Amino acid sequence: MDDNSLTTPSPAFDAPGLHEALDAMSPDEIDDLPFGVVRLDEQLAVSLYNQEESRLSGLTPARVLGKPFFTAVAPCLDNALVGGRYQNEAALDETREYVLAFRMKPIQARLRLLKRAGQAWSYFCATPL
Amino acid sequence: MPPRSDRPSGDIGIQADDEHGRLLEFLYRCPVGIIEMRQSGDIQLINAYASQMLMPLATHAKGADLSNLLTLLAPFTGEIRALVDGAAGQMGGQPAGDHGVICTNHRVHLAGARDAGGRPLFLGFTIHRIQPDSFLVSFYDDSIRVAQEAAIAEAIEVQAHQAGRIEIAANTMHDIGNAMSGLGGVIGRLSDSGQWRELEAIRRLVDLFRGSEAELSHALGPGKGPALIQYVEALTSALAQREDEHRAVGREVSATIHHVQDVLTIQRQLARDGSRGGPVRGPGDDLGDDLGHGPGTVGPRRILRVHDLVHDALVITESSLSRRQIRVEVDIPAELPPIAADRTRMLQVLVNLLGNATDAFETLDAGSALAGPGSRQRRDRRIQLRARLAGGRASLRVRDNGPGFEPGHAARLMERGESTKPGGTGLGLATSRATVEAYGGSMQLESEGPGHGAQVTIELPCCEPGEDTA
Repeated sequence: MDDNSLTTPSPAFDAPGLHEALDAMSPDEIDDLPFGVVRLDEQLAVSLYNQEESRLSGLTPARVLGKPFFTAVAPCLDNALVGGRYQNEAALDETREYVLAFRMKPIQARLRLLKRAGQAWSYFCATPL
Repeated sequence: MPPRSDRPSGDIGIQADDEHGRLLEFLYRCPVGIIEMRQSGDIQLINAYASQMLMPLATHAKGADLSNLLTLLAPFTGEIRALVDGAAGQMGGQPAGDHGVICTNHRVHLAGARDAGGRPLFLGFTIHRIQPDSFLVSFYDDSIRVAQEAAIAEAIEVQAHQAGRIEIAANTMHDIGNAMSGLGGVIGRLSDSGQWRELEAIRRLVDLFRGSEAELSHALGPGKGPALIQYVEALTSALAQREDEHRAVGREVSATIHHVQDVLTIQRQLARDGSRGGPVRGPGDDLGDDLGHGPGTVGPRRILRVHDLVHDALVITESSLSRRQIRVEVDIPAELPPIAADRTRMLQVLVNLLGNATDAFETLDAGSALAGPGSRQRRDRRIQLRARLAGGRASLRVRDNGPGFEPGHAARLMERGESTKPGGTGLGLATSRATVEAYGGSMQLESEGPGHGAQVTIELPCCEPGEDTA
């Protein structure tokens, strides 16, 4: 990296253009984000699992890549509040509070659900409160 | 802009050993909710499934809160708190009472909550006290099973109702049958009593007078003797006529009683066939019932004339035919050889076929699509019964000009349980066919299509005239 170049500040969890920002970032850059990011493919399987998400869940990316996210990796999200929305809605940009069962502790967190109509991939982001 | 293709980011190494990750994955995927909580309900540990199930209940205006299970459940049920507090209270004073089973698969209704399928939410709880202030709560979604149990219970109730009604009907018919027998006995006694003895006595009196006209005229006045005799003769003749009428009424009543008994016999048999639980036993029923056989078997054969069978069947169904203004045409040659079968069973078959044809017209009454201006109006409804000898067999065809059916459906309609009638059980046709086949015959159901009526053709072997059954 060039010392003189302006590094783009990493997007905030609540940033309006988070989806586009994530699209433009490399996997290493996504790994550096301070909140958990999971990219899902068209079948809602994991195509990217960043470092923060891995730290929170205790699962290595190798363990989860390619697996259906809501049923096999994070079943605590497998209901109409979260997983069902990715299945039923063409576009999403929602923030909601949720209690995740990260490593069997009740973790109060904020979730960001991101999906764009016509795009094959979508994002799930989480940050503990 | 699509992201650059992923490369594996390598093993992060937060949990370096694979076994730990494996255990976590195992717990995450456990399809039963598990929570470790204090007696207060404060949650210490919670697995993914518990969060999945409880989050929809936990979400409210203030945001999500899953810190206390009992507080979360409070708006829906107080049962878990009661179980935990009650059991804990019991166990509290005992030295060895630090642990134990509080409940196992205990079903709790969460009033007002729904499961993913929209059904009322029921959870099954198993709760163990593992330390004085530590409870392991395990639960699963029992809603589907509750819904299934309710459906089964309802089906059982409907069936019980049905069986109950059939039983009442069978009992009623049995009682009516007994009353009919009693009445028949009385009428029989009246009819069997010989010619009125009094009439005979009067005739003898007249004979006595006949030789003494002159003496009578001398006693009563000129010409009165013959007049008296004529008068008494006229009186006798009138009385004899009254006696004949009396006897004719007795015969008619007797015939009506037999008719009612036939109807009862057939209807009781149909009720038995119709009740799925097997034969409905009425009071006084034994294995040798009115037919001498149980259901599904055929009775002893008698020589029967097709013409008489058809006539009797028409008598039985007369009121329902005339109510629907259905005209019946009968074309049965007198020289048609008789068949050998049980009369009541064959009557059942004919009554069933006539009933089906009658009910077919019912669908026209209900204004089906076929009842257009050109189709069968009420005044033109016909059922035709025609019998012929065909290759040593009597062939009886019952044809109606009702709605008919798709030609390909004939086989299906003859199967047990199929019916085009609203509320029909479809048992009549299957049973009728079984009866006919048991006597060595055949039954065929045909239609040229909707709007072209339907016909049933029964063939049965004929007897030699004068043949007797053993």
